[in-house]
This record gives sequence, structure tokens and C-alpha cells, in this order.
Amino acid sequence: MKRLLLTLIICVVFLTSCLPPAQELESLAVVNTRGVDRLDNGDIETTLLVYRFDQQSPQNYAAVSGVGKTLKGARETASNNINFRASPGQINTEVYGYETAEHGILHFMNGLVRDAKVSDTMNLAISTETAKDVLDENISTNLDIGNFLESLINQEVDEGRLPNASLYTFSSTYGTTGHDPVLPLLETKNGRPNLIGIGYFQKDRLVDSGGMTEATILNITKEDIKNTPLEITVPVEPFVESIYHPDGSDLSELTVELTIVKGKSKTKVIDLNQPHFEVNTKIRADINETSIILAFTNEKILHRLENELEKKINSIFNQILEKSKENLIDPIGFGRYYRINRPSGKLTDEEWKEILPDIKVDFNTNIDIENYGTIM
Amino acid sequence: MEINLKVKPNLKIKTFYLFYIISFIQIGIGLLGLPRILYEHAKQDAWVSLLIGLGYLILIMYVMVVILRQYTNADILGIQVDVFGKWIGKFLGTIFILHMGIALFSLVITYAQIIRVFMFPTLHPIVTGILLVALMISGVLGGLKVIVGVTFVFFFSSIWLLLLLIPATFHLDYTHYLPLFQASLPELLEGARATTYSYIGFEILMLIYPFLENKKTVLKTSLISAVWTTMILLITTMIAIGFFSAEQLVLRDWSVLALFKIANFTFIERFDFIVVAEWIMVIIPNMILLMWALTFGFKRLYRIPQKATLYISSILILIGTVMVTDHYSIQRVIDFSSQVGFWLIFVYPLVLLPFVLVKSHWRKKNKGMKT
Repeated sequence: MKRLLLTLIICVVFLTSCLPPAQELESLAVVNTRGVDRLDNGDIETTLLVYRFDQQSPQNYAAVSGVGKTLKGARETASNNINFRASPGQINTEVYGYETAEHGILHFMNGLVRDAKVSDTMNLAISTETAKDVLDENISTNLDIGNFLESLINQEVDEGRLPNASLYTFSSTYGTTGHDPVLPLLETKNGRPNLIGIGYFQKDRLVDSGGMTEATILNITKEDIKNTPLEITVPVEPFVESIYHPDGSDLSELTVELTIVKGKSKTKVIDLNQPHFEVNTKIRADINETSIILAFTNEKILHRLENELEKKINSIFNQILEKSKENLIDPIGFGRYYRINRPSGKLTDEEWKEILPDIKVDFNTNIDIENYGTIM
Repeated sequence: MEINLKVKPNLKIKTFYLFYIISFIQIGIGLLGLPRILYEHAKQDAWVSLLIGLGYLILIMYVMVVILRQYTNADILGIQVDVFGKWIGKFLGTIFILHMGIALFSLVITYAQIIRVFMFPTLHPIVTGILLVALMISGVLGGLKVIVGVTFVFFFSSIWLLLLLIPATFHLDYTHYLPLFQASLPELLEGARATTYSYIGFEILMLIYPFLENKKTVLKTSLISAVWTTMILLITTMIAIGFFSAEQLVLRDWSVLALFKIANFTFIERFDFIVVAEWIMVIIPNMILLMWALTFGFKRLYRIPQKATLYISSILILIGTVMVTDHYSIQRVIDFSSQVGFWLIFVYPLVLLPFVLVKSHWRKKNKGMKT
């Protein structure tokens, strides 16, 4: 009995050595960021930013690229450029070139979801140029671009300025009828990638883009946001009397920098037959800075400012709606609410595309400015 | 063959442990794929299917306990021999035991497959097989008390996994649950039926009954464990439906494992790997209990020494693990196991009940006449 137990224990301990060839960290190139571009001939070019522990090189990170018919195939060609084995388990960001995204990214996503080794929490992004340009650019600036991109996107998402950009959000939104995903849009400036806004997708195809303010406003419809900075420009006319000191700043318009203490929004279906929705947004905010020095000497001015901000936010909402109708996309996800209120509970994407241009939406925004700092 | 079992007092186990035994044996590998299967049938009303399943499960547990209570200290194998006679009784007993064997086999091959897909693609299934079987043998050799002990300890060392589902709950889309009550009754019943594979195993109650100390609380404990299991199935299914879009859910094989991929902490970035490895804690008690049932059953029916059954069936399982490696074959084994399980566990007790009641009535009458 004892001998048997001993054999069993030995089995359990030594069987671990039957695991596939050990992968030592020193022999691996850990892929941190991947760029994907579709070439004119239909091939896929992938740019990998990898970490490797090479004693011969002063830098721990490198960019390699390869071409193939599939993403994995391209990865294999890319890893031919380095004397390390490319391991995809740590990809934190995947960047798609603009034109590539316009042709649809489902194909690449499918590969990511199928591979159990790929993390679902990785971020996806698109760039105004090719992904290779964004990722390769930085080698000259000596910037660890993989890490940089990851923290750049995560920080904005955490702050609430940008809708969630992770793989699981994209694929879940993609698969939901009456809802289309958005992804962060990158542009290279001075050798560094910058976040300039979001790209609107029609299911998996990129069709339009918008700026950061639009991204933040859109995000309020997706989740409750807290402590989010927002810059909004309103007409200056209603505040001419309150200008405290015209110090040479531009007096043609007033830009207000707010911190949204809390912002949330609720979408309701008012009428199903002639689709009519209502989006009620409630924002509590503090003023941090104004482009023209204003004195909030009485409550009326504050209310006036609140009014103007509400108008502006509603107009941004309407701008998003216009883009939706024009491109037959639904980033806010009205289709979802339409479906769940239908007696049958069913809706196809095709049906919704026919209905979408005729929907009517009332955006009601209510802003409460709570504090404006230590001066009036 | 003795109808009633004489169990030495030192071999008896407290009925309290029945909760861990039943809840563990039900939550095995079936849970990982359940949301997809339920969603396919009942769509967003999957929870109704689960509750229907629970109602039916409670009924069956009640029926089982009623059957067992007609005897002083018998198990299903003895009862069948008593009711149907030696030959038919033993034949039915063999089917009952073999069903446990198939359930055990499906468990091993499914886990071996998950290990290959999630962690080590080139790992030969025999390695996972030997690893699991080695642990199983050493557990079963310890006897029923050790088995129950393992179940009890592993319950607490695996229950924390549920906490890792919390990050996924922050990303639920409530519109996925609406509108309510869209599935028709047949669809809901189909869904309830699809839960069979997840519920399989609680029939061990009919084997372990003679070993339980306090027979009065058996029904109560069984019902509590049924509610507990259903609650866990319900929580995971609802999270999966809210988290994944319909399109994703019907394509994902182990949607519950994918839910764990969202958990992400600074000290461990990929919790899904931990979960896949940790799932062995869920598998092992399950395997040990089923294997015990297998060895005990053959000893009862044919007087085959428990060790002989243990080693022979372990070898057979290992051979099977090498033979059945591709996805569709594994799926066929699971389907077969759940088909057999459905008829054997969810239908058969209802057929057996009138026979047992008539027999018991007849016996009492006979006794009365004699005195």
C-alpha cells in the first residue's frame, strides 16, 4: 500500500516534466503590442513590439514585422527576424490601420477570441495612418511604445473620457443587435502616438470618427462616469456682462473646463411605432477653468452657464445621432432598447438599419454646477 | 446478496457531509459549458429553465428518499434486487453503476481537453489522464471517510473561485435579459432537460444512504444542496448571458471559463490560467466519489474486490483518454452520458416508486398476517 502511494506521488510530481518544451523567459520574445495592416494584395502585415532579454542589445524592446495570409502566419514570419520565439500571451494592445479597419476587423478578432492564450482584457485601437507607422515611428524616439500605448488608453478609459476599448467589450457590442462598437483613434504627433478621439464602427467596419469630447459624451450613455475632465466651448454672448477682466484672451467664444463629478444617462423608449427615444442625462460638475475670466457674482450667471452647457452637450448628442443616421450605425445602442420593448423581443440588424434613419431622439441634459473653486 | 446493508458505526458518516457530497458531484465540468447549452434552448429565459429544473430535481430527490425509506438500511442496488428479483435487479444495478463510470470518463476527457486548449496545446492527454487517475486512486484507497474528507476540504478550497466572477459583473448589459418570458414552454422544458448533465451525480445519494448516520435529515440536506447547486448554476448562467452577446454565447464552448478571463489583478494578470488549474480541485472530489460508487457497486453486485475494480477501471479510463481526444468525440461521450443520466435519474425513480411502494405494502401485510 505504502509502495503504491509512493509510486502515485512520484507520478504526480514527475509528470510535470512531461509538459511541452519548457519556455524560458530568456528565449522568448514577449509580444506586447501588435499592429495589423492589410496590404493591397490582401496579405496581412503585422508589426510586433516585443520585449526580449538580449544581452547583445542595449534595448529590451524591439519592433519586428512580417507578412502572411493569416495573422498567425504573419507572426511567424515576423519572428523569423529575431532569434527569439514570439509569444502572444501578453499582447496588451492591438492597433489596426485606418484602411484595414474600414475593410472590417472581424477576421482578426476571431483569431484573438479563438486563441485561449490571448487575454480578453487587451485593448484595441485604430490609427489614422497605418499601424506600422504608429508602432515603428517610435523606435527613433526611444520610447517603449507598447507600455506607453497601454497606459495611455487605460488611463483615459479609467478617467471615463473614453468608452471601454477592450476586446471583450468590442466583441460583446459587436454581437449585440442594435448596438455598434467604437474604438479609440490614435494619431502620431512628434513621434508619439496621441489619442485624438474615437472611430465609429458599423459592426466590424470602421465608418466614421469623432473627437475626444464626443467620446466622453458618448461614454456617459454607456456607463456612469466619475471625476471625468471635459472641455466644452459655448457662445460668449450671454456672459459679456460678467467678464471680470478682459485680459487679451480670445473673446469670441467661451471654453469651460469641467470636472464631471458624476454623470449618468438613461435611455427610454417613448413610442415604438414611430420610433421615438428619450435620453435623459444628469451631470454634476465642478468648474476648473474658463478661457475668459468670469465672475460668478450671482446665481443667475451660473444658471445661464448651465443652460448654455446643456445646449452644447445636447448638440453634441445630436451630432452623434446625425452620424448614426448617416452611416447606419448605432453607437448609443438605441436598437437594444427598441428590441426589448418589442412584443416579439426579436430584431435583426438589417431590420434595425431600415428603421434607424427615421428614429426620433430627445436629448435632455441636466447639468448641475456645484463648485467653481475658491474665487467667485 | 443482502438487501439491507450492515454498516459498522465507525464507517458511518454524518448526514451533514451529504451537502458537500451532492453539491460537489453536481458542479463538475458541466457548469463550464452550461450557459451556452441553456441559452441555445431558452435564450434569455434560461433562468426559468433552471428553476423548472430545480423543481423537478426536488421532486426526484423526494421520490428517491421515499424509496429509500421503505427499507431499513438499503441502497438502490439492494432495492432493485428486492423488487425485480436477482437477475433483472442485478442487470439494472449494473446499468446504474456503468452510468457512473461513463460520467467519470467524460469528466476526465473533458478536463484533459480544457488543459490542452487553455494551457498546454502539445500535452498528451495521457499525462493529464495519469495525473488525475493517480490522485483519484490514492483518494479512493483511503476509503469512504477519506473521500468525504476530501470533498469537505476541497469545497472550501474551490468555492472562492466564484469571487473571481465579480469583475465580469461590472460589464453586464441588462438588455440581454430582456424581454422576459419569451421562450415557449417546450423551449423552457428543453432547457431544463439540457441541465441534466450538470445535475448528474446526485443519484449517489441512493448508494451512500446506508452509510449516513441520521436518516431523518437526509431529505433536508439533499434539498439544501440542490438549491445551492442551482444557485451557483443560476449565478454563472446569468452573468454569462449578461456579459456575452447572444452571438458570442452560442459559439463559446466554455463560456464560464471565458468569464474568468476578465479578472485581472496587478499581481496576477491572467486569472483564467489559475482557474483552469484550480478546477482540478472541483474535478478530483467528483472523480473520487464516482469511482467509489463504481467500486462499491461492483462489490455489492458481483463481490468483485473494490481494489480490482479500481485498478481495472483506472486502466480503462486511461486507455479511453488516449482514444477519445477530438472535440466531437468528447462531445458525443458527454451527450451519451447526459442522455443515459436523464432517463436513469430523472425518469427511472418515478417508475421504480410504485413498485417499491407496492412491495413494501405487500410485505407489511404479510408480516401482519404472520403475527
